[in-house]
Amino acid sequence: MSPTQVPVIARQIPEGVIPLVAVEGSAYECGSQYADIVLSRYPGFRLYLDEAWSWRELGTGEKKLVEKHAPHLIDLFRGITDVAGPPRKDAAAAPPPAPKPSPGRSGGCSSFSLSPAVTLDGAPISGQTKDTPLDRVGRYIVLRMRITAAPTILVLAYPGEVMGYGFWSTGMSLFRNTLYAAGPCASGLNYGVVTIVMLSCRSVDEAAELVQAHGRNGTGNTLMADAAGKSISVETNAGGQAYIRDVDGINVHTNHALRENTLAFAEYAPGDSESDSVFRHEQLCRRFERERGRLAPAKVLALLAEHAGYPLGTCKHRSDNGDITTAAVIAEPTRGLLHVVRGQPCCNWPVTYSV
Amino acid sequence: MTATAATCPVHPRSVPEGRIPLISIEGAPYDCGRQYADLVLSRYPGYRTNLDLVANWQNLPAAEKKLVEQQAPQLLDLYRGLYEVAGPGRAPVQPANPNAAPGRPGRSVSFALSGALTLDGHPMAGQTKDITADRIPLYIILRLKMTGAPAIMVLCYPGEVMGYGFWSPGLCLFRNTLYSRGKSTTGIQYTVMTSVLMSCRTVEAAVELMEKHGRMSMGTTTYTDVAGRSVSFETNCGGQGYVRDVDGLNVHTNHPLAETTRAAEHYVFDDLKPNSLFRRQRMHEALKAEHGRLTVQKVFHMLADHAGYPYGTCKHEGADGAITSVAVVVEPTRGLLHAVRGQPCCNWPFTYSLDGADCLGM
Repeated sequence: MSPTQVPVIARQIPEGVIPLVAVEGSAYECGSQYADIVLSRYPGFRLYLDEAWSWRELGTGEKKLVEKHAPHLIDLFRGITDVAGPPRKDAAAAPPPAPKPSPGRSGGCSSFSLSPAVTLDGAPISGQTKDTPLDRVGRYIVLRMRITAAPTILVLAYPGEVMGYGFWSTGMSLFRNTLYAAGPCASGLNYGVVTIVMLSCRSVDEAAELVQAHGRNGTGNTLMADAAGKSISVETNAGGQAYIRDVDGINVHTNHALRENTLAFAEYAPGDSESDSVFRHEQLCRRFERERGRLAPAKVLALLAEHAGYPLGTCKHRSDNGDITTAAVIAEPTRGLLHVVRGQPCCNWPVTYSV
Repeated sequence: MTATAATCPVHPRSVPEGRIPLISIEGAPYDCGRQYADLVLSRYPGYRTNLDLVANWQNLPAAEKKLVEQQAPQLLDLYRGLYEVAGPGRAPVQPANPNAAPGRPGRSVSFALSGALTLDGHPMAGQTKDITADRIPLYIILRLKMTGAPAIMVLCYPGEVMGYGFWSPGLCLFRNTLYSRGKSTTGIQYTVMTSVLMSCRTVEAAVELMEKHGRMSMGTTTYTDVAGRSVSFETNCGGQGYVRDVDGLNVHTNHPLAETTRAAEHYVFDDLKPNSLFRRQRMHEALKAEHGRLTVQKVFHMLADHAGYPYGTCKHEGADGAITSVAVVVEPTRGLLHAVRGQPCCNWPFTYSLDGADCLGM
């Protein structure tokens, strides 16, 4: 459809900046400070604070994994839960749940990773667009957690969330997509625990080994990149785990499964979800390839904002399930920088946050 | 010019990341002039190119002086202040027009958009500016808030006032080299006329003024008013050419478009005309494709276009060493000027505000 045939959709998200929540100290102090800030600035939004309680009741396998790879997370979540307390049963106070990987849901996020060989300045770049209902925009924060004797965390997140979308100062970055699937993987360790522990690895090879050794239950895709710029997408659904490595330094993942075992359990929501996901994947691969060697954060943002397929596409203004692009994130982990756009990247400015 | 990414070597970063410094001055026009000259002399010692040209405003011919007194009398006080601090020039003063050096193969892209084309209904205008990289550290953003006169918000060189930007109230101004075989020898001095035109409230008033007085020298200036109407004035030895927006859209590169000025087109290198045509067509098509969805961000993405790399809109190589050294987009009705130092493909824009709330963007 040509632009002249498609009615223009008015601005959906006012210009603005995603607030920074910055905490510093020991892991426990960071956790308690974070919970304090979330409780005071986002009263009633307990979704992730309530979820944090599960870290007090980790299974044996999960606890052992965390203690081995990222012991500070135990203290961090203890700090959160000591302040936030146990989950509340008061459903009336709870806002609608934040989008999370769930079978059949038609998310529209597009993730990518670019190795130093394809970027202008020789530093790896990774990131994603994030498609959600419009009302999520007011919830976004950028979390900077400077933890004594542990990596600093710099991520886009919802209040109370720690995993988020961004990187650790070790250079490991994490971006995530819904994976259209008929059902979750039933075996392996807890999805959230394994995924965040993967960030503590020193390389994507190590992260892949970790998933291979322990499995990951649930559904979703995580695209991880390391400081050397190597990247891997790990798909999880009822078909098990699948691993997709970069091709000549470029790795793109949208919402459809790319490997045989996970593709066998693909299931799409009615409407545009499958074709739009395939279209976004092809478009983004093509755009990155076109700019091979010239890719800088400013250029990448321009590519994410392209309107091919409007109002669907990478920079989404409408979809069957009401999701639109509500954020775009570009990370330069080795430079300690996270560039974040609140809303669609075609009509809002990025703001740069530094480790 | 049509090399693909695969066949074209990648040019390493030529402009380090950074921001263009702001010079912000407030007060009576005369005081503003003095402060500005003081700042330029202290921050850019030895750089007198534009300060030396100020002397020209002290000896304007009677007709030009009368025109300035009628249209923008504050300029006389402003330049008097500048002159009294900067002193006389070190070389004989020539009528100034930085775009008019014969044979200068500039390759900038200017545009103007009415509010009907933009997402938020605000008019926009701007340009890329191609020049050798050594000039980049000289760029400043000048914010002049003069008592009893329009505020000025422009990208310019130290000591310059005309620049690239907007007056509030007044018009937006963006400028291009015009590939021509010679200059117009009649009319008002180029810089004087171009500056005075910014004081008009509408492009219609600017056209009337231009038709009445004419303009010497050579170059294109594109003016946009707050209603989003725009006109490009082309000046060369063929005379004056007027190129109005079509349905709110106006794009100008470096080749003459009007009949009068086209008669005097001239290209010192063979590739200049096709390159200019290509950049204009490319920008025009990109802007049209986003009709109604145009935002400042989207426009910057278009200015970062690499079609024709390394010679297209976002230029990384030129036969004369010129590259895209800056990109500017203004939203005059919002009092905002957004500028990228260097090529817009690899540097972030920074937002300067007339009300002083800078850093809106990055």
